[in-house]
Amino acid sequence: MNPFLFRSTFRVFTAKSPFLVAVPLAIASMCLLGCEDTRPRTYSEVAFKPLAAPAMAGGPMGAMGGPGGMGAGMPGMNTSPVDIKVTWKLPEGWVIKDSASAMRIGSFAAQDPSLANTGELDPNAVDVSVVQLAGDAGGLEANINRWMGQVGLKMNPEEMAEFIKAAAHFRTATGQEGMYVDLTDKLSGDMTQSKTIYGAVVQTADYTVFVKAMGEHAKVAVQKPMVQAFCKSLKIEGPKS
Amino acid sequence: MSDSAASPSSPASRPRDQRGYAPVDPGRNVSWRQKAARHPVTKAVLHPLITLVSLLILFALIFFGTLYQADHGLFEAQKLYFGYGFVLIGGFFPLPGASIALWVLSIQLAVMMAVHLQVRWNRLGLWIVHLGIMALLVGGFVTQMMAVESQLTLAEGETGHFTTSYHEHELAFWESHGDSNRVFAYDESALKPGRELEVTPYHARIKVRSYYPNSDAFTTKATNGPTYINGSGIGMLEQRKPEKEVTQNAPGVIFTLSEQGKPDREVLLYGQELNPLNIALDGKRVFAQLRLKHYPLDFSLHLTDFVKNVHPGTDIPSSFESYADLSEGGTSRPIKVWMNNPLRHAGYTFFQASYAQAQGMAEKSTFAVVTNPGRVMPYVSSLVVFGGLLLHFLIKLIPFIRRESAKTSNP
Repeated sequence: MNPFLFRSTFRVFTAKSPFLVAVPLAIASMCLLGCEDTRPRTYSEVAFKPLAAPAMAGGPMGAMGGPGGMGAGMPGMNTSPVDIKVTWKLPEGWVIKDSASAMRIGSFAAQDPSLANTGELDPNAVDVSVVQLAGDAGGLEANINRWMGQVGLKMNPEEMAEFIKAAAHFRTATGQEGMYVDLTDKLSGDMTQSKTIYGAVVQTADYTVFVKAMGEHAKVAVQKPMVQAFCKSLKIEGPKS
Repeated sequence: MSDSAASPSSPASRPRDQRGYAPVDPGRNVSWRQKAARHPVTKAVLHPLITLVSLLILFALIFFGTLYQADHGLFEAQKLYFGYGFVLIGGFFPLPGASIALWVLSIQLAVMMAVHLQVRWNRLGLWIVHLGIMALLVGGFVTQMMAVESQLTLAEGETGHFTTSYHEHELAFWESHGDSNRVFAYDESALKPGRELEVTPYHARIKVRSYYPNSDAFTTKATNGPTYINGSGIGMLEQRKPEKEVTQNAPGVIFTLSEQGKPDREVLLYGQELNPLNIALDGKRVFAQLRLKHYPLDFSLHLTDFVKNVHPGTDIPSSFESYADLSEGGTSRPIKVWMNNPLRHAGYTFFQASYAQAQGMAEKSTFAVVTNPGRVMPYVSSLVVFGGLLLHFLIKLIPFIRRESAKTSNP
């Protein structure tokens, strides 16, 4: 920098010019305000009591006596055990996967039927999961929205209401009514979505069971009849009163 | 008139440079404003090209940010286009975020007011106009820094005492005292791997091992990995790429919990667990959870009814209405929140945002809750700018009328 320019800049900015001093100070203070804050927060809150309080039923958390802390509106998964037993008949070609998410009670790789009994494994096989949760698991719409988010889709509440109204229904082997969630004919706005979901939801006042088949469009389309057969084979027993 | 003939006592007769400034006379007592106005740095800062480019950048950011928001969600668009970073338009053309452009314009405005705007009574209108614009910019920064957006979802019959963040998480520890919880929480921004944090109410300390903004949880344990304490049987977390829609992220944290005189414990918490972990700390039963950030309210809302009206003969909704009881300090009053008619109370604004209906279940209503100390600034600044323009117009109008009257009376 030109020494003269530097000196004169220094003089001007250190002269009796409160505004010019205030500007950099204001910038610095605003930057400090925006800095990361690692201080803890302490606060008191009244514990939230959900209407059906399904999360507190039974299981290792049952002794908590309602500590609250469940995020209102959280569409996530209620991981507390629900006193039901879910069994199924596995379609041909489906392979039980070793690694299951904490939420899953069943995890399968739905292979192309042509690979059935060949001993070969398809690395892009459709991923099928079975999840059982207590209560309404955050709500049907919220969970369908979550699935849609996983494949880059969106729906507004009106479209969601239409979608649920138009959905096909089925009955499990033990008689519970279920609803198919078919996202295979939907494309995201940017047309870049690579995966889709075909699933089903069985919901009662006590529990919700989800079956989700997620994978490439063509592969999921092939698996649709198998997923339907699987859903109809579900045996849901309980809860014990 | 030549330069040498100019008299210092008659400033109007002194020669001017291209921008109309008279040269500094070393013999005169020149104010800091005059010195600063002539300084090359000030001239560079106030260059009109900077203003023009900043305004064009803001225009482009609003246009492309609106397009981006349609596919990637509001939060991502705000973060990318209106923050302090740089965004690549079309994947190759870099532009600074709107916050940077607004800072540049604010600094220009402040410097211009400081050194150029003359302090005279007949410039009062212009001062008011510029202060109004400054108030608008300050209001924008106040909103950016201090506004909090959260949500509250209630089923009919439920009561809410706190709102939850859309996407920001906290590591919370609390004891239950009947209906009330005393919560000690760290924001997710504090959960940096390697960082040690005190849990002061329970005389304990945590050392963050890993924090994943988005992750998958598995019941299986990592090969040769430690066994974690977890309330849902989760044995391992795997990092995932952040989702396009930030609310879809499921964070996870692994930390070592240390208490004096006791062996360390390795704890794993996953953001999708609804049930908190129940652990013994400092001889007490304490709950720990990685959850969406809570914002406690000083009042409560009890949802009594949610009504969805449809257009006659169709299933197309015409309106959504939430009826609730607002309780505060022992008194309660009924309130109604519907589209474009939010509830404003104690600095909070509750907007009717969403709803959920499922067969056999109570209807649920979701409110978007906003606290924004800078909320009134745009209205105030608009009024101030209007007042300033009006005043400046009058200041110019009155002498004009006088001159015209004089001309008419003395043709």
